[in-house]
Amino acid sequence: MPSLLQRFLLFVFVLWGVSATVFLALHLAPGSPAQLLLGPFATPDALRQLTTELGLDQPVIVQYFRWLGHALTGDLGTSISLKQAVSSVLYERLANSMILAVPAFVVATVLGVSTGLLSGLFRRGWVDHSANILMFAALAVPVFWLGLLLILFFGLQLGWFPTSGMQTPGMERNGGDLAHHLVLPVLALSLAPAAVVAQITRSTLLNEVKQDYVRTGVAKGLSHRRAIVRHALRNTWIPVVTTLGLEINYVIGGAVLVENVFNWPGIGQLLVQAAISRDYPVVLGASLILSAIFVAVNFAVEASYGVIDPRLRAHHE
Amino acid sequence: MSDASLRPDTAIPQPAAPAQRRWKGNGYMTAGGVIMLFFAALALLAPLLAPLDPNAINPVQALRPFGFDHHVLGTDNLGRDLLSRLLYGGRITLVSSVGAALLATSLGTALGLIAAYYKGWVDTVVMRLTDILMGFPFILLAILIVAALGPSTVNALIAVAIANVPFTARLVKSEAARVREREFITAAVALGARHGRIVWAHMLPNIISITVPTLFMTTGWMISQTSALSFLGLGTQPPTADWGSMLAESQNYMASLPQVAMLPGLTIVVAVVGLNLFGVGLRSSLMRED
Repeated sequence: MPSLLQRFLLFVFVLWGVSATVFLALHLAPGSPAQLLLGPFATPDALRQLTTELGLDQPVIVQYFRWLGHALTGDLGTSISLKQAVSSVLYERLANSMILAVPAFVVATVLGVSTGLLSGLFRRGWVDHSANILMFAALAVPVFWLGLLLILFFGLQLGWFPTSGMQTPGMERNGGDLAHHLVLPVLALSLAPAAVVAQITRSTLLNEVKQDYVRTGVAKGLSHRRAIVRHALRNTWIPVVTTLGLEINYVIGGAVLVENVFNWPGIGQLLVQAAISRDYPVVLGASLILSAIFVAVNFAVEASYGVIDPRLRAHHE
Repeated sequence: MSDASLRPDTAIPQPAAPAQRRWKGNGYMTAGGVIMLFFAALALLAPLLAPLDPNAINPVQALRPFGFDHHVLGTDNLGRDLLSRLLYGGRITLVSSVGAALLATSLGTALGLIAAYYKGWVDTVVMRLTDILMGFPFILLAILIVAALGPSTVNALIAVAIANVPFTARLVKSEAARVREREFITAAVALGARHGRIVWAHMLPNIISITVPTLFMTTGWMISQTSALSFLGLGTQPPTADWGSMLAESQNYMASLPQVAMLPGLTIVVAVVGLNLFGVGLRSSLMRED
């Protein structure tokens, strides 16, 4: 088990690697941003001028370290298509994405843990069987199709919920309206991660129930229920916390798709638009932020093992 | 396995027995296999089965219901035959998913084997590379690769394949690292066998029971991921159909004809479930054999 410091260094290394990988990949790609910006009928002079302006005539390494230097001070360059500072565009979009992702994360965790515990406690009962089928289905259905289905039934046919955007056009932004717009995207986004969490919770609980200490507890007179609730449940937490790292993968990846299905003006929608229009500064900034969140959450999850389980703390020393 | 050796029927090695048992009593594999064969047949026979040209536009007959005038599954917003588009689209989705899964599994297996065999700095370099690639959520990495290469079916294939390599590499490495420590590898090294031969002839056969089931499950995963990229407009480009791009197009008019959104999604789900069932069944039967 690596120490906390080692994990932190790995965390920094991965972030740096992510930035370098993205930067290199985008700059080795065919077609220069200057050409894309000016269109097919640009004169060679204008092209050359813009190339110099954007610093694209420098070697890639020079460009990368210049970009990295700016990025470390919070300056992520200017969007080619939006003509705005990337950092300010990202800030707004990221806030919108959080409004979608945080509730989805909470719903997925609560739904997943409770389903997992229930189907583990009432193993082979009807709760367990129907939960298993639901979990299997939630993982087999692509998140973007689930989004379309929700729009089709609850949005278009039943008309219960709005199907697009964050607010009703022409209406002032308010909490109730936003919550109404959130229902379907959050549902679409949380089902798959909930299924993952439920499966892991269930199998962990079943594994703990089989352990000697539960049998010992029952042998010395605890009721079976009490042995499970007081003792086995506690040990279920570590794998469940581990799944939070896995969950964030589903939520971030899913958010990119769900935002596009529900026309939610978040960072994922921005990223896809930027990828299609080859707005490299935006692609670079957006992917860096998303992977930074992803890696940071995973780092926090690993770092929390020691807090949850004292046995793991000993190995750090 | 010590448990298995205690069972009377496995105590004496019988070469024919495992092969038979592999196919007996594994409902997952049978169900998954039937679904896989069904889709493979549809993709192979698409030109014979498709009633019409999948890209033939006929605006007069747009958005027709099931069974309308030889259109068994109806037509889309441009009057294109939905059945033909599903069949030809399935070809593209399935071929690119199988291609991506093969590419990802072979690259990942090669990297995992090399890391496990050479250990030391080679292992460190390979594992740190997978750390970096796994620093991206899956679909994000695929989007980035498409952003660099430009949107197309082939680039989407490459993108999802590369995004999947670190997962296979990790899996293979952890298994191959165990094989690496077994006596017969040490024996092969002592006999002076070449590196390539040890990896190819001694290590690879011992991890195949891990990689082959993974290959099927990866193919299922690739179906949903290539479809996701096409859905986002980063994969197969219009007017060519694949299941993902059909879903993307359906968004604007699914209110008038729900089946345009239902059918491609349903086919994706059935295909993915089939591949997963087969993979799970194969894995459990291969594990029983060990």
